[in-house]
Amino acid sequence: MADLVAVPGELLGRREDLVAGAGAYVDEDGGVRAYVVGLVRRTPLPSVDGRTQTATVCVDAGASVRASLMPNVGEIVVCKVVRINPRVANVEIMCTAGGSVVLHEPCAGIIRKEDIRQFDRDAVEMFKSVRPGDVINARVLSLGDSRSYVLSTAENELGVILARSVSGAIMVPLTFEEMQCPKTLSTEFRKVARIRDETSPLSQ
Amino acid sequence: MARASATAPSSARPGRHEFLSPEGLRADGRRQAEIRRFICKLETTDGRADGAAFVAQGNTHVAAAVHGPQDPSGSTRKMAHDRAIIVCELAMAPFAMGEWNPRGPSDRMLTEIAAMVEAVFEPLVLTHLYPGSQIVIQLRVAQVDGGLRCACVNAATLALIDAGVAMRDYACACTVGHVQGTLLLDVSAVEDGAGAELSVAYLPKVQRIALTHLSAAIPADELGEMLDLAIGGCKQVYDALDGHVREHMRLVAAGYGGSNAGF
Repeated sequence: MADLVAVPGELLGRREDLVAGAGAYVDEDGGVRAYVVGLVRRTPLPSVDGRTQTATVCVDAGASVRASLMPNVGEIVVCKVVRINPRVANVEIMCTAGGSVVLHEPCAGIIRKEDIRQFDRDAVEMFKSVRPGDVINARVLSLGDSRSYVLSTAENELGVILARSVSGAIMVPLTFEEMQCPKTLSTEFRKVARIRDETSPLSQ
Repeated sequence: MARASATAPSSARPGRHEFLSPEGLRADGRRQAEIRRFICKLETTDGRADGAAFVAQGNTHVAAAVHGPQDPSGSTRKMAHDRAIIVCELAMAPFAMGEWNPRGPSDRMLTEIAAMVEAVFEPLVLTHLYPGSQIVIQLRVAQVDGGLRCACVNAATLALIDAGVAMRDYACACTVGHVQGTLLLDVSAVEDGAGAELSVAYLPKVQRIALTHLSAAIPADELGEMLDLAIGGCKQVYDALDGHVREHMRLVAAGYGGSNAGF
């Protein structure tokens, strides 16, 4: 077991014999070295000429290392609305990479009124689009200033995916701009996301 | 009478201005190329930091915590879109130097050492893997007895390893003192105050020097010898660090049932 554990800088082999996978890098002299503490895994690669044997080497640090990926421009993030005003909604980005990576700590983002929907964007009313507490899908428009990312929900697939009504029940989407409370049957306005899911009435 | 005259001047204990006894021992009983007692501990975190470590080199005690890679928004520092930035915050207890001396965040010595730690780890961490984020290294000094820079570098290395931050190598640091013509490894405050001190941070596996810092002028032809001695000290530090990291890894693996489940 001891020789399976690598520490940062540990020489795992030469570039000629190994391909550096996750957790490994190639130094300037052609040596493949580990960059985290973890278990070494070698996966043989199919030989090209039938003679030389190569392998991918990964250093698996597992759960002790978290992949803290900051949001990238263009990707879809999942966020929660913190507060709104007529011009802008402030959100906390909770997941990146389309919701597959959960951030260790949320980072701030804003959605401007003009970026709420594609059509008739001057007539958008923020209070009819998102409310504090809503969970929304949004796309990262730009890295913004040093305080917050600039996001957009101006696509059919983007917008509110989970919202509670005034009475506290999780609402059901009715149309692209309305959601209904199953408890009181009252409707509220939201910029609803079309979720690609057979059970959703919106995708039919 | 003969007995007394034999013991008085050439006692085994070094005199006031004598840092190496004729027997080759220093005031604290070490030999010339011997580092002080080196204690380190990983994962001392209270759960808020992503990685934490403690290092004691003799009576110099430094605790380190690493936060990140995290979102730099909210901080006033500049951020880079293509890589992570490394920020070091160094604080020292008012009683750390022996007499009460509260130091603010703008203290010159502390900001200089913090900048030095950033300079060591900026090229060492694979910052391009964490674009647009920051890695904060917080160092807390409880006690200083010489070699503060080196203890800070060593503690930061351990905390970064504990946080799982991608690093090309360990950074191991050690000092060499040039005291009245003799070279002493890993000087304490008493020895340091009497001469020049060379701090060296070394990358033991890549075999490169990451940093040198000389506190006073020395004869130029002795620099090579000092560097060799310092690198020897860094290797001793590395053995201690590496042994502890591997032991810690073994315990963590055993805690998860000895299988790969924990990884």
